[in-house]
Formats: sequence, C-alpha cells, structure tokens
Amino acid sequence: MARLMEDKTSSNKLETIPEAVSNKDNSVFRTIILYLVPPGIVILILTVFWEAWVRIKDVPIYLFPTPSAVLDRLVSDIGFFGIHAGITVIEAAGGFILGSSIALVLGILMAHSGVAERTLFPIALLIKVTPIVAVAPLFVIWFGFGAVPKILIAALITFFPVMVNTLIGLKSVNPGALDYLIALDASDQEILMKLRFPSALPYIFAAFRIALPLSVIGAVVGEWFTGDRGLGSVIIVAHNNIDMPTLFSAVITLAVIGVSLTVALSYLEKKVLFWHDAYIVS
Amino acid sequence: MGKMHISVRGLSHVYFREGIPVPALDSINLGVRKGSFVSVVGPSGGGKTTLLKCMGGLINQTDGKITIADKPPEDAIKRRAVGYVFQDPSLLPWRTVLRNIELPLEIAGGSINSEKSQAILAAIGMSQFGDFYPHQLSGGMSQRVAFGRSLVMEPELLLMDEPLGALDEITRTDMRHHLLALWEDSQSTVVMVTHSVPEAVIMSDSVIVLSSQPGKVVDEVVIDLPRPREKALEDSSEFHLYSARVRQLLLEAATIGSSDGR
Repeated sequence: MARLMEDKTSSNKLETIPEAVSNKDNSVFRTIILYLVPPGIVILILTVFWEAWVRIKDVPIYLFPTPSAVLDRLVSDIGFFGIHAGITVIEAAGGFILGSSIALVLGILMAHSGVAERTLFPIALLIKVTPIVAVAPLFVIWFGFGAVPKILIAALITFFPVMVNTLIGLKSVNPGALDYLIALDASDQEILMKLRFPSALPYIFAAFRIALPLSVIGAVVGEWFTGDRGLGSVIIVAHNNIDMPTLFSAVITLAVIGVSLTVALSYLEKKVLFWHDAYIVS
Repeated sequence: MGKMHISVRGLSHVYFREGIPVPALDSINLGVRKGSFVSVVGPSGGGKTTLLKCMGGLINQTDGKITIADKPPEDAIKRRAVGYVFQDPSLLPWRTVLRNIELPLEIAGGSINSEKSQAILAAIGMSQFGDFYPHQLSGGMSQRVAFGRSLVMEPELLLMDEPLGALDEITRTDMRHHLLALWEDSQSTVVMVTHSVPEAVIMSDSVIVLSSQPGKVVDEVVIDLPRPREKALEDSSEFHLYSARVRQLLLEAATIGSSDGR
C-alpha cells in the first residue's frame, strides 16, 4: 500500500503505462472453438467416408475395419489400452528425461570447451545417424525384456536434437547483455545461469517439440522386439493375429498420446517463455 | 581537483577484419578529470566505441597505457567501479524491471537491498513499472532501466556508448536532461560516445573530437557553461557557438580521415 502511495507522487511525466498484454481473453471455450472445431469437422467427414466406403465395398475386416468397429474395440477394452498406453508413456517419458538430461549436460560442456565440442559432436553424430531400428534388437539382448531397453532406445533417439539445440542456444546470446555481464566481472558460472541458459530455453523447447514425439517412437520400436507390454507389443500381437480393430485402436491411442504430450509441452512452453518474441501478444 | 581519473597515454589499437589489420586508434592521449562529464564525438566507423571498450577493459589495446585511478582498467572492473550503458539497453527479457536493476547487485554477491532498488526506480521515474517486463516497455523506458541498472552500483566511472542513439528525437531531448539530472546527483565520472553535437555540448564539461580510421584526437573543446544545465540553455548563443566549434572540428576530422585513407 505504501508503495502505491509513493508511486502516485513520483509518477513519471514522460510516458504512460503501455497497454500491457490486456488481450487476456483466455476463454477456454473460445480456444476450443477456434482450434478444435475446424480439424474436428474434417476428421469427422473423413471418418464418415471411411465407414461408408468399407460398408459399400464390403471390405473384409481383416484388411480394413470400419471406424465403428475400431471405436467399439477401443471403448469396450479401454482398460486394456489404458494400461498398455501407460506403460508406453512411462517408457517414453523415462527415455525423454534421461536423454534430455544427458543432452543438456553435454551441450553445456560443449558450449564451454571447444575441445569437448570437437570430441563429442562427431560421436553424437555417429549415434544419431545409426538407424535406431537396427540397434533396438541388440538392446533387448543386452538389457532384457523389461523397461530398460525401451527407455534407453527412447533416450538415444531424443538425445541428439536436444544436445544440438542446447549448444546453439547457449551460444546465441545477446552480445550487448554478454558485454554487460563481462563488464560486471561476472563469473562463467553466473553468465551461464543468468544469461546463457535462459537465452537457450527457446532453442531447448524447440528441440523438446521434436524429441518428445520421438521418444514415443523409441519406446514403441523397443516394444516391437519384446512383445509383452506396451502399445508397440499390442500392435505386433494384433498384426500376427490379423486383428485389425485392435491394431487400429493401438495406433489411435498412440496418436492421442502424441497430441496430448505436444499440447502439454506447448502449454508449458508458453508459461516458461512468456518473455520470448514468439509469445508476446501485441 | 587537477587529478585525472582516467589517463590514456599513447593508446593505439589494431584489429583484424578477415585477416586484414585495421588500425582503429592511433596514439591517443587524453585525461578525464574525476567527476567530470566528457563526450567523444567523431565520424562513424571511427574508433569511438573501441576507445570506450579499452577504457572499460573489454578490449585489450595493441599499444599504450590506460589507467583508472592510477590502476589498470581490470582493477576497476574487479572493484566493480565501472558502469556501462550501451546503445541497446540489452535488458534480460525474462526479468522484471526491478530484477534487471538488481542484477549487478546479485553478481556483486551482496545482499539485495530492496530500498536501494526502489530508490533507483524512483530516480529513473519508473516506480510503477518495477514489475513490468522489458517487452512491455518503450525504448526510452528500457534505456532508463539500463541507466538505473548502472547507477545501482554507484560506479566511479560510467561509460556510455551512444546511450540515447536508438531513441526518437523528442524522447532523446527529454532523456538527455533526465540523464543529466541523474548524473548531477551522483559522483560518477562519465565518458559518453555520441553522434549528436548538441547532446555532447549540452551535457559535457569537455568534448573530445576524434578523427576516423585510425582514430586520432583532433581537439578537445572545453564547454564552460554553467551547471545545472537547463533546457533553455540550448537556445543560448554560447551553446550555439560551442556547437559550431565542435561541428567545424568534425568537418576537419572527416577530411583528416579521408586524406589518411585510400
């Protein structure tokens, strides 16, 4: 209260309060209509066509199930799909967290030392260009049938984009702000924590957008080779049994997982990077 | 009184652009008295910014000697006695105005004195804006925060590189008097690089005119106008005489530069 009083007296004459982000029309309903209805309508139309086409052409269910058959399977066995989805998500998340953490540490190390960059970057590239599908069976042999090989595969696939963007981001600082901190005799650690790391966050989030769906792919690929748990194994088993409704249901569940993770990440990104040009409402 | 706060002796600096040596400064000699306000003017592409960065210890000069209070600039930086204001305020966009102003205190490792930061906010006329983020501020307001951020350290020496250069003419005229008032309340020695002759004359105790490529001191004009400098002074004949003198020296500086070059 005291501050408010003081503000009145020392009010500045030169400029007025800018119209700061007054555009806070955060009505959830509006957002839903704007962003969900148009694609929803398109998907609905395609689904209707799909249903009609399969029925008219009398396509056998082991080739192409109707959407209603898929939906029927998904709803009646929701618990089954839920458990396997949960397993896949946990594996993917574990891999994402592990891979991103290693990538962040290595990115910081590489930004700090040219020797580290010249040593680690080619090795990281080597890992990146090796097809993950080729390594996956090896991991299963080494690490068994549990969650470990899937987490490692997801980590491996997530690691590279996060590392590269961390490195670029840590180097992309405002030169004026850097000069200012140097003139203040700030230590390397202070420059890292107060300038470089926050400056790198937009780059890191951009990498997360790529890496998060990749981690789900990693987990699913890992599950293909073990076939007891997770949506990847559900797909393989359904495929062997020519059980199309189950296969489609698993694929749809994966799509829902991908969309949910992306939406959650976007929300977090908007909260963290409120100051970034891309999120400033003007 | 005659004590020089900054002394520059035989300062030369050569930098390399794509492997080709470019002389930026050539045997500069100058002294800045403690507590005075000195401006450096000169053609674009001259070594004005280089001179300032050498004084602030951000660049190691090729040759010559600089002392701040009889010590090398590095010592002054270590003592955190040097404040910087650049043309671009370069505020940290993820910090509020208040937290930007407190940044130097955080780095100095001292406890954050909120009374002091509030006093600085009031001094720069931004008391209501402490919780605002840089993207919510105008250019003039951002630059005021940059001043505040430098003043919070109570620097012995304030180095300013075209601090008002990015502002529109009206804001710029207002800001120069605002800045003068802030400086008159402090004990700081100021060296300011500027392109604006009226700005240099109205604010400074002396104006150093630099030629370009390489930068040499053409002359120093001592501005003997009464302080505090009021806005009305900009309409006085003395002000115009000084401005004319500086402008004439700038013309000479430009011809020196072109005859020296290719």
